[in-house]
Amino acid sequence: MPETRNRKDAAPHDAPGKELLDLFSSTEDLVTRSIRILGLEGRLIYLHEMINQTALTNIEQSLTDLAWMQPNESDESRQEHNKMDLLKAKLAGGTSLDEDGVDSLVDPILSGKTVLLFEELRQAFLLPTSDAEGRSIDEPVTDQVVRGPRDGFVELISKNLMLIRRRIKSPDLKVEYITLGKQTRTEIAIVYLKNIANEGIVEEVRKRLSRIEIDGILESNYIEQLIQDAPLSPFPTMAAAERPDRICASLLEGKVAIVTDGTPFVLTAPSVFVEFLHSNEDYYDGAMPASIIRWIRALGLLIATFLPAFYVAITTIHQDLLQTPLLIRIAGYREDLPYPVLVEAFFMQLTFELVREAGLRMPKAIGNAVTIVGTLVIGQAAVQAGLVGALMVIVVAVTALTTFILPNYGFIQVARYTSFPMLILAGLFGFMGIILGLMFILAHLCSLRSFGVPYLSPISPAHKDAWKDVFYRAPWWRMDMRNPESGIRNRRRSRTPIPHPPDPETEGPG
Amino acid sequence: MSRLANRLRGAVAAAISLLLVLPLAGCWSTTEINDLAIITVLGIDQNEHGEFQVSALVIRPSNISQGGLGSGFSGGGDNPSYVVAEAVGDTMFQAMQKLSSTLSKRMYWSHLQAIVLGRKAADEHSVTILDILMREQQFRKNIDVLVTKGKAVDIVKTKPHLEGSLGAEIHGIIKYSKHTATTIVQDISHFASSISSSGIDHITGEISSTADRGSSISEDGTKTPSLNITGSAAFKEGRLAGFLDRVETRGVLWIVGQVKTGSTKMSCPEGNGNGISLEITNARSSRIPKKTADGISMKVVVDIEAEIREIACDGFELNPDRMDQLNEQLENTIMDEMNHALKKAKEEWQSDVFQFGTTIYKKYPKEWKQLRASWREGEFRRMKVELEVRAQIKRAGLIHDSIRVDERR
Repeated sequence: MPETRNRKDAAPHDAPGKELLDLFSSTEDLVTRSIRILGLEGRLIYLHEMINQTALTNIEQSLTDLAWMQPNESDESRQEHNKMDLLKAKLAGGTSLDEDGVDSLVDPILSGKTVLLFEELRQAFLLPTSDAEGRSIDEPVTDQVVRGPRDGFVELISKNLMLIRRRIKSPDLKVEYITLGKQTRTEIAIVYLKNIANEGIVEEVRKRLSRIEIDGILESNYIEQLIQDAPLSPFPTMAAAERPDRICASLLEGKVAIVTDGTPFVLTAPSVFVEFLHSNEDYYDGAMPASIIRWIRALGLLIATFLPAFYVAITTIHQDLLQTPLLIRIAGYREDLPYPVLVEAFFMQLTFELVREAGLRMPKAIGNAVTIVGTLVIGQAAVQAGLVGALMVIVVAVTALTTFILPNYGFIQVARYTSFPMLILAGLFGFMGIILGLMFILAHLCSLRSFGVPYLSPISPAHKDAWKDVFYRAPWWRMDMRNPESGIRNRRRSRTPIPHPPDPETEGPG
Repeated sequence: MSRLANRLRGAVAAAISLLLVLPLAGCWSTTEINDLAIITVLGIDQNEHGEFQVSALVIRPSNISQGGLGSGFSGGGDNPSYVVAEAVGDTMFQAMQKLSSTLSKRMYWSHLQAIVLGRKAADEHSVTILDILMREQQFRKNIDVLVTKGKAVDIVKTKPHLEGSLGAEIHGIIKYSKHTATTIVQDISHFASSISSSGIDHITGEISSTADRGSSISEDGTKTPSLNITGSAAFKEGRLAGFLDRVETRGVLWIVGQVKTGSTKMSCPEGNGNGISLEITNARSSRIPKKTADGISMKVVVDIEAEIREIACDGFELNPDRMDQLNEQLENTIMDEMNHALKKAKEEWQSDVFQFGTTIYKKYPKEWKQLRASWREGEFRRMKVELEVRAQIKRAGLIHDSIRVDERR
């Protein structure tokens, strides 16, 4: 900190500069530098790593240029006043220290602004020198699409808000800032469309966010856990997405987005069950393929949750439900196997989880190879060693693959880990157990609410006109109304008529 | 905090109610598949001492699914894919218990594909056997029950030709012999309902391994007889009444209206050739009971549509007059078949395999009450049965007349 030593030691005791520097004692990346502008003694205070050096130099340059504009020297005090007015005109963000105190300068310094302090005049200016550099906008890793925009959110909140605003150019798009985290002072933005979103839900989001009192928020999941409706439920009641197009679609449906600084994952609320089975690509595909894919995804959810349990139940308790040739075949595969099917299932599921986790944490270059090779080799070897049956390997592999059909990462995990209790239930009680487990899950889902919206809506309670975006994805010319649960204020979203070729009699060709 | 406590209480309640399922689930004892002795054919005989002799065909799965990586041995040609286990006991249950003690796995009956009754067992014990078949939940009620003229164990021991196990083989034979419309095979539930009904007598397939109806020839030229449904076994009040051959069986099938498709043969009108083959494409029949002065009589009307499949008669010309003649001939052929069946079952055995009793009961329940007591002691035999057949040959294929050799050549 070579420049810190330049500071004046002769500052008076109640000098705001001293007070500020005391707050930042043993903060060696804090720089204070003297500067003389229009004959006034000022001081620049900033965090060296947080600012953009070029921006600061440019501002300094323009300030020293002011020195050429000599005001008339008639009255000493008036002159100083004039100088101050000039500065205020030149620089935005003037703060009177008498009114706001030194504390008001702390947050700006921490977020990368430079403070220009005039101690004698008890006046400070905030110079916008924040370094907005960061990761460039990239294609997100989760939520991949074949057709659709390729940009994804980044860690900087300003860039993320820019990505949203670029898509929704409306004065009704409201952004409210709130700073959370006693230590991290993370900037959070509540974003919503005022003419669509339900004011009650926006208010509820505000209220819940204001209740947060925590040291640090490093990821949006902190917020999700702190404000979600059912803290003990494994099911997510808020959706997180990395794609701006997805978030904008949610905003257009009347949802509220919560953008957190430092993470590319933006939360939306309220979220309902069916939403987690929808990919944003559904809306970019044709209505028919998208509808089919939705059903396949629902099937995938069932398979991911129930297939291992189903296999265990049918092979240990309900053998009479198998076809005879299949039964004989399975019996042949299972000849001389030492462990019960339930143990096999657990062993294989566990192995897959281990391999998957290893593949995730490993450096990317070898991660993929390990996941595939590991699963194949271990599965094959386990079958040959006589530890598990060949069919079990198929079942576990299909289950594991199927989980990735689901578009939402949080939901994948729920589906995967629900399969474990289902496995135990199936092993002990057979289909009875599976049905029981399913009923518990359904009852639980029915009891959930997300910011006042029933989790299973629009299926239950039934809103038939919203089903066109649930059981199938209607073509856009049919999607004229929003789901009444989330966007009560303004339900109509389209008046486009059904597309049709021109009538040759009335309109003529073309 | 109290909300969390509530939830915890809910979780405990859930766990308790889960435990309550334990007694609810009737079959909560789990068995691994490899601990099951899968039995696909069950043979029941009566031996000289009047005891039950039970023979079961147990699958050896490792030899059937040879690609099974999990199995230590790869299944050789010498190791048959099944084992026939046999046991004797005073009762069926006892015999089955003894059978179980000779097997290293749990007997598993749910995948049984056929039950074969030996002649003596079918004659004397069919009701007893039916009791355990209906009582035990592992026996599916749609398993076919067949009768053999000899001992059931000989059928169970037969080597399957095409399938890996005899169960599948018998199942396939039953399934595809239906198309010939000369067999009738009934399952346990039919067996039970017809034996306990006064207006029907049971009839089911008769299986035998015969060389004359078909056999498989191995590479060294030896013929192995193949299994066949050679006819049917008619019952009378729970006892075996007698056997019908395939033509007589079809006579029964015409009357009860169970022919859907099938083939038949007529002799050449001029007697100069091997005959004409026909395919029956559609058949309907109705039994109409009628009150007459001397009691109730029965009218059976059969409607048939057929197609000509083959003409093996010299110089045969097909023209509309000939068609009428052929129709009439077909009617007579079918009439003959029905008469044969009626003669045996009605006149000789007084076994109501034609379900005439039920038909009368449905139309004249009061009269049936009086008839019922002496139905099988004369009333059935005395009842007049009037037959009417309406046959229509609809198509003759791509050519009309039979192919002629040009003699000028």
